[in-house]
Amino acid sequence: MDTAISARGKWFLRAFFAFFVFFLYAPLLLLVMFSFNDADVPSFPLSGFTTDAYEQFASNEVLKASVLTSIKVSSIASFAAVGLGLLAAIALVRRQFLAKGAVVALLLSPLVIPYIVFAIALLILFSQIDRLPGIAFPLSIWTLVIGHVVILLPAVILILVPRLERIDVRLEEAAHDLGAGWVRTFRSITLPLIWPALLSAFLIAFVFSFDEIVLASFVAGDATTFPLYLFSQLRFPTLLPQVIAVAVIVFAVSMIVIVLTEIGRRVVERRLQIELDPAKYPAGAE
Amino acid sequence: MSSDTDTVPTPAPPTRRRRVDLGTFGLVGPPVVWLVVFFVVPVIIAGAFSVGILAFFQDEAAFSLDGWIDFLDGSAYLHLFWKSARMSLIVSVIAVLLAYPVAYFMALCAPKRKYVLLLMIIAPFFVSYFLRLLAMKVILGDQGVINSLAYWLGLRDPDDPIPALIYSQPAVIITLVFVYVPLVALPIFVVLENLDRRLLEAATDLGASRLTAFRAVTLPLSLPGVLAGFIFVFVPTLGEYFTPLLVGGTGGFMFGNSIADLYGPSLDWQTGSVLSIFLLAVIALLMVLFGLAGRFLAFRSAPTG
Amino acid sequence: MTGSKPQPSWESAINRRRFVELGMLAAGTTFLAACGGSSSGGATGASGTIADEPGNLSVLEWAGYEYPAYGGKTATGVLQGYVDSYQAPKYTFLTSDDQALAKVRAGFKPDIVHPCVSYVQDWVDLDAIQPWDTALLKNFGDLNPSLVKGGQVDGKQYFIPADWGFSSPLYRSDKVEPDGEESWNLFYDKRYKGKISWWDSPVENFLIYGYTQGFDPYDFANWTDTQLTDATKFLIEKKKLVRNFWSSGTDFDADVANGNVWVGYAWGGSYTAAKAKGLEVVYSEPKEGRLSWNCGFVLAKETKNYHHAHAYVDDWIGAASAAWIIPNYAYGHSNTAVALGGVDPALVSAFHLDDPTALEEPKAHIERYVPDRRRFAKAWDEVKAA
Repeated sequence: MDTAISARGKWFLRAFFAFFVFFLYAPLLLLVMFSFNDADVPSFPLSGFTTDAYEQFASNEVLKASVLTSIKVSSIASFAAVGLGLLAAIALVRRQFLAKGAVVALLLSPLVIPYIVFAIALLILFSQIDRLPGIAFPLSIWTLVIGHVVILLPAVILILVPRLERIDVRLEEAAHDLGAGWVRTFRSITLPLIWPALLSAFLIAFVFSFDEIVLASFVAGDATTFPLYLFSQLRFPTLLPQVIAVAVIVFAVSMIVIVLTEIGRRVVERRLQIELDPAKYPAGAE
Repeated sequence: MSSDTDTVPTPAPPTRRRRVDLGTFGLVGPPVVWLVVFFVVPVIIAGAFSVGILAFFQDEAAFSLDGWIDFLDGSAYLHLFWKSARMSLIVSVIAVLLAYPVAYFMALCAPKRKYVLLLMIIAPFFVSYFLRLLAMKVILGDQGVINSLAYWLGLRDPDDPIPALIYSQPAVIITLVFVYVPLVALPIFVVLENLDRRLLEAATDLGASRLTAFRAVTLPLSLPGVLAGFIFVFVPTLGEYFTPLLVGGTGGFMFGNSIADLYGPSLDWQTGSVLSIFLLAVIALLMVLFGLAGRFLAFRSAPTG
Repeated sequence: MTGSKPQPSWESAINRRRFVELGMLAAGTTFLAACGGSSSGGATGASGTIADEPGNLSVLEWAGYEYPAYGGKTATGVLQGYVDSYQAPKYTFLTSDDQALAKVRAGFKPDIVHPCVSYVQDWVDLDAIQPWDTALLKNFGDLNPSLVKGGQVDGKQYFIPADWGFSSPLYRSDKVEPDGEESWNLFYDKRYKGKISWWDSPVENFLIYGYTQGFDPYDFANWTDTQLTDATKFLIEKKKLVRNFWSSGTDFDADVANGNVWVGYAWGGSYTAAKAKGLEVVYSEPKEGRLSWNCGFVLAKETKNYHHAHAYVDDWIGAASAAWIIPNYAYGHSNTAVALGGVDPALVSAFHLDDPTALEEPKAHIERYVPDRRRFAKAWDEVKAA
């Protein structure tokens, strides 16, 4: 029997999960519908089908540039945050050092601070650095990346630390005893075990950064990210359909990624089955 | 915490290397330095604003504790803080209670599909939060899907829609719960997916019911993830302002909104900084009091990886 | 970092960190005090010619007023003249007047900003702007004189008026019947409980209270502590009738379109949006008078593109740009010499686009600098938190 869950329990959890996903996706399906609606403001009744929003988006250079900027900023910031977060997580879980509690508090404290306060103070800091003789520190996507890494670090650490704790340190010790250096140990033992957590951390970081508006409105200089563009348009809903079109495209891309992942998973699974049981699957069968 | 110590041989607790060497600095150094420069210094700047050393109009700058005194001396903001903290607590507890089954389902009931399911609950967050809320308003509004259903079923009069679906405190709580459940589920999932089934098998072999096995084995082992998840929701929601702004109506004003206002149209950076530093201090205090960090890093015996 | 013996316990670890923080606070503020403070040096002046300047104009602007305006729709007209002769400017979008002030205070350096007139004094106080040289603006003479006057501080022209419009109660004529004459009192009408929306702004809601009570809220002598307390209590009471405090035009328009709100504080754009949705709406003329706003350009003190900035603004206030702005946004333009032939006559009359005196007292109450904004902001926060 399945020790983790009973059959009835499984049914219940499945229904619960399905409900949850349904409520999570309902607004998105509405957005898809409204992106083809011939009106500026999303509301019922619908006013007629049109692909204008998508066509306008395609010719809106500023909007397209903002999406690209967002992708750039979020990728770099997430990558850096996962890198730094991994270092911190390893240190927290595997090493003993003074003031560990204070370090944990420090690493998690960006979760607390209201972003507007942080954004303004960070901007002040950057402008002061820029004023120092001989140093040019202009506001740009890089200053935004710096700010984003700060706020993404706690999330990364909160995901990696519980996972790292669960890895038996004796596996790593065994590798050392056999002569492997730190890097080799990490690559062969730790990394294969934690890559799903790393990926999850990256995804969450990316998603946070992609939709972040407050820091982007202060420390990015004249670079415009997609959420910043969206928010500055909110005075009149005239551009709302185009922005919704962008959101739908982003949604579609993520759906494609999910479908591809599922397909990829099935392909791998099938391959494994064939490998493991050649008798059942004579050579070349698929 | 591994309560089956008599029956399931517990591996010896792993030794921690007492190595305060270059390796440790190399690991913990970069993130700490990053945060000290790009976070602690800005916090100090905010602190300077809170005591008047820095001011919006710099010629008004003068050291003064008035901002702090006014705030702590029973101001409306302090009262608002407690109200918001209560709401955060409610949101966090509900979010954790709902996130656990979600994480459990993905990790333990769908062994093959778990990553796809994980992607499924994270994917919606790629779409702008504001736009999703705008769409939600269409569903929950007076002429929206839910109310129309209610009229059609005769549950309510068309002139008397259910007002509390949007623009109310319950609306804020429900929306926040929805937003945070996937986030909270993530650390719990990450821990649960590596649960050693053999422990559960051993428990049930010895006669425990599934429920007992869950309570004795799964739950304790997943606690670090649950704690991480709780921090993930409680701490940010204390300073939350965007959701209350959009769906709170006139009754959902939270502490974060007052900070946003003080830094916004009021141009009162001193009071705004006081409130923000206060928030930071409260969280730091909580973490110390509950030894959260210690428990967070709980070095339980960690069989398998 | 400090010399004390390492202690593994929690509380002392935190204490040590606090100590270090205080030390850094002292060091940090000394550093900031030494380097910070107001911008050094005087304003860049009219010396040199336009060819001497780098030409990379940076404008902190509302979305929709940039070149090319609203990418996707035809954009010839706005700033075409400037862009034909000089390098296209770089735009940074602001989200609100206070965000623009905050950003510049914190160190962002644009050449031109587009704030609204009630904030000009703040820009002057921040020592971030310098007066315009109106002799360099060919179209200056065509501008609405009362708006021009409003943009002067200490006799200097710090602000060039550009666009203007009204703020007035918008209501659904099929659902709402004003009690007698149209009035701001509609916001306090208990017949429409749960269907009213106010703007989330500290000052305007008290202005409305003042006008409905019969005194001039812009005469700040009227706002004694008692008066403010009374106003606060009144608004807290009336808050029960209000559905939402809207923060963005889109949000409000969505509420009107979704039937959540029948009465609300609205700018002209909401009227056109609601009409486009096929709703029967009225952009009322309250007996106490509409509120009106006016936004325009200020020049950064340390700009390196002095002449380019003037050329830019000159083009914006010219007839060609106006001819694009007016029909597309139904906003007024400060240039009174523009022909309104192409504009929908219904809009012209609803927004008095052909009447330059429409936004002056006593017909409308144009926005003005509020000296003690913090006081109102605190009171407004009290209303919201109650």
